[in-house]
Amino acid sequence: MFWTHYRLRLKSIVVNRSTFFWCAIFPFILSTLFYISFGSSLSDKSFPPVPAAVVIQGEGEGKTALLSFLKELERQEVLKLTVTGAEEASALLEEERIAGIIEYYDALQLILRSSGIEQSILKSVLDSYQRKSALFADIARENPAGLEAAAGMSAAVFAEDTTLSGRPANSSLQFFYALVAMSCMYASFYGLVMSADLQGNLSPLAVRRTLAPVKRWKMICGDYLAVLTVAVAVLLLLFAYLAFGLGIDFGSHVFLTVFTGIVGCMFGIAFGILLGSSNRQSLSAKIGISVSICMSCCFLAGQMINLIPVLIEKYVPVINRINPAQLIANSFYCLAFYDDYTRYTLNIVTLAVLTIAMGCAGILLMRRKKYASI
Amino acid sequence: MEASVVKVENLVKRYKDLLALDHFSLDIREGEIFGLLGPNGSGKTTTINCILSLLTYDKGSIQVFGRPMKPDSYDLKQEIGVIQQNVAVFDELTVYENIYYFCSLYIADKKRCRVLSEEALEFTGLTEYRKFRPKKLSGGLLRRLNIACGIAHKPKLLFMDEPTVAVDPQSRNKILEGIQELNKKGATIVYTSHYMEEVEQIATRIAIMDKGRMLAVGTAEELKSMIPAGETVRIHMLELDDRHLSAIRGLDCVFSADYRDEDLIIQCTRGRHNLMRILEYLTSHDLIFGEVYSQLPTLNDVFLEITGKQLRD
Repeated sequence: MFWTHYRLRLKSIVVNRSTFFWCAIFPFILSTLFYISFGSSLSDKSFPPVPAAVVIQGEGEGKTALLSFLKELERQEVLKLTVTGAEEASALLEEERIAGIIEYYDALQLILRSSGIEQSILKSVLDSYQRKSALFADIARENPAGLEAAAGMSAAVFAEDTTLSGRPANSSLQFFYALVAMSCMYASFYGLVMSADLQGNLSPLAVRRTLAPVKRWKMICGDYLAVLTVAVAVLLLLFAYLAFGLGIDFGSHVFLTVFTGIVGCMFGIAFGILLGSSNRQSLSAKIGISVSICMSCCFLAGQMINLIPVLIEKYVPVINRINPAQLIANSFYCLAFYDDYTRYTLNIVTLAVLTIAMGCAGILLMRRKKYASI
Repeated sequence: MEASVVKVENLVKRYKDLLALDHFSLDIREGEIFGLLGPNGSGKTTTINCILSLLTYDKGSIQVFGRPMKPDSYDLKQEIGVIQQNVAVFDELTVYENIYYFCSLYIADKKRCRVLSEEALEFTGLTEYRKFRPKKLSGGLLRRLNIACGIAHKPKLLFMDEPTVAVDPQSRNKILEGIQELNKKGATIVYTSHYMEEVEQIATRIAIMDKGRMLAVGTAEELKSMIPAGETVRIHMLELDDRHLSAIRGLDCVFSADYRDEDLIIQCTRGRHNLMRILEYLTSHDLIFGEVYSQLPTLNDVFLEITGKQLRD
């Protein structure tokens, strides 16, 4: 009975046009559109170097340390420097050929004419240098020969810091990771359909199924397994399309990447079950609510503007810690770019806890055996 | 006396301030087609949902096949089939797959399940539509699919909640014939409707309910005997003076008589040959008349007698 139930439920879910479009077609269309939009930048591993002028007057240890630090960043293609005089630098800035001027007389100064991503990077560079300037001074005093190496090391750490703080090595990838997160969250539609077809006060079909001599948990398990199968199959196809069709880099941790997607789908389904079984709105109204919530989460995870998670990280980091779309997208990011699993593990554990909490609450609501009204 | 299949005693069900069932009692016996008749909102569906343990109730007791019915009474559910007012099938599965799916919830053996599904297809006349999806079926065929899904496992007790709503006359007749055939094969059927003609046509016993209360129960004849008047006779006459109208009212076979819009309408008493005696009076007095219609009392007259309102008000 169980496998008959599973097989026919599988078919009924796959053939459902509305959910099939949103869950299985829409992510492919969106990813293709993203690819068309970002096409050329996908092959780059980083932002183009930020053009800046360096104006240094006078001599001393501070100048040497700063120049070493900036040169190292230029070598790493974070910055593109023009060492020049004050007047020429001003002219370059006026003509918008550079993002800003790094000026060093007695103290370090940054001159900007506008604000933007490049200007933010320059500011971060100098903030990082100033934090470490005391260290450079000590090294210059005690071991002048090691000054260049220390500046280089510090610059390398800075380059890593910019990534860890949320700015992607390739900003376009953030869109695709958030898109996969969206696809996972759209599995909530399956959860909604599942609750509508199982809970007697939501549809005549559910009433008929409730009346059958089948234990409730068996029916729930059969449905859950069917929707999970469909959701994971769609996810695998999406991964294949993104990785092999569009050349999106998910890193080398294939198993963990797929595992993350599966946990994401489980979260989506659990969220759908909870939303579906918690109220008696129509299915279309619930799908509307679900779309709104999913899109909001994906927006906060940087699907539309990739700086959003950076801003959230700066001002309200707790949102990044509980936003499921950000947890999924960030997990992909961790797997693709870092070898440190601490952050990845934290993301997955948080996502699993959210999934279990929502799934349990939804199934408890669904398993009510008697209804006060139908 | 046949064994009791469904026994409901003093059932009370409230929806907040609304009393949906007011100390409602019912005893349905094996082999019956039991008609539950009442206007919309009278409590028919609530009664069935309580019996099926879909709804909680405030007071009373319900027994099915002599045992209390609970949500986890799987052995009892095994013997029950339900055809709901609303069509309840998967839009994404074909006609055959739908029947097979619901049958498989009751029958574990795949081979038997297949045989029963084929039988249900044939019984409801859906064999040629087996590969159709429900959305491609007409309203009548969809209702038949709804029935096929409810009967495929051959239940001993079948609840049919207004199964012919919005169905064309041809499909309706087919459905009603099918219900009688199922009954002949041994199923006890509980049939709710607000179409009195249907209930009268197929039910062996009828309960009339209104506002959550049982008003009367019995065979159609027993119920009709509750009203004092016999048949209603309507005679088309271009003219009739008051003298003759008074004389007609005085006939011993006439309960009441009225003349309006060129029609003489007579409510007869429960005697025999009433129509003949009225026509004898008209011909003997050289009164000219046209078409004559005679209608026996209906369940609507019974309902009118008991509640003072029409069944379809």
